Amino acid sequence: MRCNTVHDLMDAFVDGELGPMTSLRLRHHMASCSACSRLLDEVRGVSEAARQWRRSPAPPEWREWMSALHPQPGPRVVAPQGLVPRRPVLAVAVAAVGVVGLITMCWPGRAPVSPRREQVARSVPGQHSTRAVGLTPRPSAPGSRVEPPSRRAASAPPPVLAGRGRPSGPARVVSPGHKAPTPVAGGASKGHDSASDQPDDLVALNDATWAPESYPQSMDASFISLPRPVVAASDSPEGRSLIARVLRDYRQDLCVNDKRLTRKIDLWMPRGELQDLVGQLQAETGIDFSVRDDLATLKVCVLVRQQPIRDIMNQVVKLLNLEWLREGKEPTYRYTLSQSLEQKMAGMTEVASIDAVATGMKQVMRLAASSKAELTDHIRELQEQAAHPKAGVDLESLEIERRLCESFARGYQRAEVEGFRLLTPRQLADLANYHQVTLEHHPGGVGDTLPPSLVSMWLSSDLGGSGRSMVPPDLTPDQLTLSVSYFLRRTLTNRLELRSLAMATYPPPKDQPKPPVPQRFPGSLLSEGHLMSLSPVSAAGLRWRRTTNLGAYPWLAQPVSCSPDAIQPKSPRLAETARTRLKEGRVEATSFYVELSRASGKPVVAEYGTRVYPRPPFAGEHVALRELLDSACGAMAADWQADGPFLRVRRRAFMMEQALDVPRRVLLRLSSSAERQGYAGLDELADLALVDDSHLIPQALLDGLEWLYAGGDQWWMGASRSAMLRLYARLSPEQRRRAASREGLSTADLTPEQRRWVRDELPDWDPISRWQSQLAPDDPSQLRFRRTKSDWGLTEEDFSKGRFWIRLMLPGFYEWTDQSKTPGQYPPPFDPDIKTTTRAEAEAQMQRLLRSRGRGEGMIRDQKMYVYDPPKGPYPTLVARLNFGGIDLREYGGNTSSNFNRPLKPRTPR
Amino acid sequence: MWMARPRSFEELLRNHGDRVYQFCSRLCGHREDAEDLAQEVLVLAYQGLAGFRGQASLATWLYRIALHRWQRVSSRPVTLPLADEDLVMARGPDPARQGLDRLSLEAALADLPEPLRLAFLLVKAEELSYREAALVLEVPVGTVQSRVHHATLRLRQALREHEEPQPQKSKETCDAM
Repeated sequence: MRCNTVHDLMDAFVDGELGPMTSLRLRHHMASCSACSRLLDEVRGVSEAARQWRRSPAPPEWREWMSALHPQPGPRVVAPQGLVPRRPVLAVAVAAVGVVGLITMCWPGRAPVSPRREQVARSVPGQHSTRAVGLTPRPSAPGSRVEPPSRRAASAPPPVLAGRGRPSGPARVVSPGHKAPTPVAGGASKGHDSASDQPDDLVALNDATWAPESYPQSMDASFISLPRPVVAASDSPEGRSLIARVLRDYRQDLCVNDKRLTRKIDLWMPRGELQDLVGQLQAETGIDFSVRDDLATLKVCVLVRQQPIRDIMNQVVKLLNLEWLREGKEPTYRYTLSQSLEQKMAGMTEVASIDAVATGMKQVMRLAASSKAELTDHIRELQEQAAHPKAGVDLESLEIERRLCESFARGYQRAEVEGFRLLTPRQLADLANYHQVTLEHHPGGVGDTLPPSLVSMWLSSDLGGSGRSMVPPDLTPDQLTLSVSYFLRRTLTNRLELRSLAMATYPPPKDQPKPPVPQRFPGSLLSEGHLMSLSPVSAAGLRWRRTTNLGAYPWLAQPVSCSPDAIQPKSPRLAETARTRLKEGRVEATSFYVELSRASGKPVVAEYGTRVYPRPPFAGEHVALRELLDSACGAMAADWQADGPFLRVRRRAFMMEQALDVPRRVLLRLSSSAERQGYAGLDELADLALVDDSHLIPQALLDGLEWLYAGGDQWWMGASRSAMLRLYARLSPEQRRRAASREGLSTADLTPEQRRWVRDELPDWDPISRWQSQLAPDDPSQLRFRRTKSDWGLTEEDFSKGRFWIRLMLPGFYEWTDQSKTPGQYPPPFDPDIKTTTRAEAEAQMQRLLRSRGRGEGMIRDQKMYVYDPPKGPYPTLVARLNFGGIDLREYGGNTSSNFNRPLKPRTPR
Repeated sequence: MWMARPRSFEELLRNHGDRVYQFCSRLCGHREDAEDLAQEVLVLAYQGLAGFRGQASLATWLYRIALHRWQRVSSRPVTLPLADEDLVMARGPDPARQGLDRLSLEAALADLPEPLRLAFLLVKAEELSYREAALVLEVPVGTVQSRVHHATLRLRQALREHEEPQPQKSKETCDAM
């Protein structure tokens, strides 16, 4: 990125209007460019000065005056454009002058006014300036005789979760919207709830998958969810009683039927965004609807007449895989459209692309197994079909298939196809979920599977960017080891295409000096010892399965006539071009939806892109509705579905776009956190830890390969490798708060699911599992390594006395730690309450603590207590400790360590 | 996020009074005019609340009303002299930003063309997003971005000249890519 570009984007950067990737690139540039960094300071200075300029609350006397006003809500409409019609304003203004003048004349006293005010007052006797509303006059300065009515006291008690009853004694209740727990006073309500004896209520509450036992028959409210309550309570009968009550209230709230949602409304929005939709819903119904910022710009088309509000809400969330979050209390519930990160990622599997890829690849594998003569014949057939296409034939598919046959006939790409056949079901699922999978060390090697011409080209040229000089001159094909990666990509024509990345590795030369790695790609794939080639394997003509039961919708067979309007370019030149070259015309998806709704008489809820399409597939006279939908959706690469009276249409690419949006969304959170506090916090890192690296890499390849590998920071790539961070990511908010506190989180408070996760995942942590060497039975000269996993003999008793701490050490602060072993006590890795900016102060704090405990200097001498230096670089360091008494696991800045005070009992290797 | 529609004038005043007053104060440059304008905006908004279609946030709607009313009462933006109390405050150091005093910012803002000044005020002072500012000004988002960029350029130049009345330095360059 050049300085000029940075200068142009600087304002948008300061105002937070740039995308996350561009922001990070800008930040990366400014870290190395002092001039741009100074410019950033200047722009921030101007922004800050503007923000502070005349930043003062309204004067109290003005507020008092305004509080004394009691304007009546007028029946007239103030339109946003033009605001107020002129005539009413004039009428009101004239009336106001009269009324205000009359009242002012009768006013017993008048406070002094400024000269300017006097001047204005002279122009309109008895009235200030341009005030145009007929209301009681107000004094122009403090100390006037106006006695404003007492303002209504603000009555906003903090919402208390499960507040239908007084919580008991030592328990604390935290509502989802409140950061700090709110102590609740009151005595215990004995015998209040029979469920108070259930010990697992807290566990169940934090555990998550809630669903009401039964919904009212009249309504399917499964598209509405409630924020899960967060409760902290002591382990006492009162605390359990409170938890049980919260649970019961939560279940009851889930089953509430909001009667306002049964009203039928019209909603006609051919094109718009979700924020427009909720705005219209709010205007139509008076119910408080909103949408999360990151979803506000999704494009939807809603064409509905006389349908219940809840059905419209349901269709929208089904269409876009969202949920309505209900907040507030009956009868004034608020509804917010939201989507969790998991829901975005779940979209990947919904596409069912794995079936399509597997089906498409069967055809490809059949071709790859054909002889050269067979392939030549097939190519001739394809050419004839393309020259005389029949109705419904996809010419693009024919072309891709022809190219593929030519490639096979020359001996290329057989290795990739062969490799695909070897993928396991698990690898296929990974390919569908993450759009990438790598087959390491292709069993066929290189000599048998790659065409000799390609290998010789690799060995003799600079293919792959490594450069001729980097390939050892005496390298032979049998020294190469092949690995193949597969990527699923959506093409510009909305096809799902499978691509492969073949990579050959050769052993480093022993007797030659190490060739220099090109500076441009430090640490990249294109480094020493690798050669690669990227080529399409093909997945031409992939089709998705249709799940609609057509028999249940007889109206799909009714004949309809559809004739959407073609786009008329405004520019005369473009109109002429359209008339001469595009005789068939072009249509937008939204025009088709409007015509579809008119022709079928059915409500349509659809998602759309900005692309335009040739008109013929969207038009028809007396064709079955089903055929029309098939034809149009085929052209749009979309799926349609009939659901009750509704028709839903969604592009196949939509869910993939949503899933590909996950890295952007994560980066957005990281960027905003870094902007706010200078670094990414634990919660943001935890979000990142839940996203697999392989899911991030394709997006990185698309958006920022050069930035990522050309010296950029890769810290966000490694979050998912931290077992401690992944454990933190699975904690509830209250558990997270405890884990980051000085006391830490007791592992007794982990849910059964979290315990299972610890058992399953932590054995992968390096010091726990052990590498065992053994001789290969088929070749005794080869020493092979086998990894033995153990669950370390963890018992329920271990979980009852363990403790977990996690926090970030910030740059610039010295901290000290106490690692002394006190029976039954496990100190946190660092005390979050103590940090200093100098080493001397940290050491002095240690000395003071030792003196207060009556301990000697030996603690420091024996390295039981010591001072840590601040983390190097601009990023904080993750510090975590998981202690189970005899087993102590620690993580510090990506390094792990462990201590065992008892013999391990390895279980059966998994 | 969408703001709820206020149910009473008190609620409107409580939630939006300060913000409207502050914006009017920045627009008018005079306290008493600002009070008049803010009152007019709030009352008009309350009377016309039935016409609020909810297609933008309520705050954005109020900004538009304020802007239109202000443009009606003044054919061109008039920057009035600072009130006495503002002058007194402007003599002291500004804790928010050293090196930039309010007086120079006031003068620099007054020299800006109206479109640039309005866009700058809405985005930088009122902290609206570009999209919201575009709704208020009824121009495309790109236009808002461009206006804010040029306003900042001019303000930086003006403030630099105010601080250092030396001849302009040569353009800074750097080698970073």
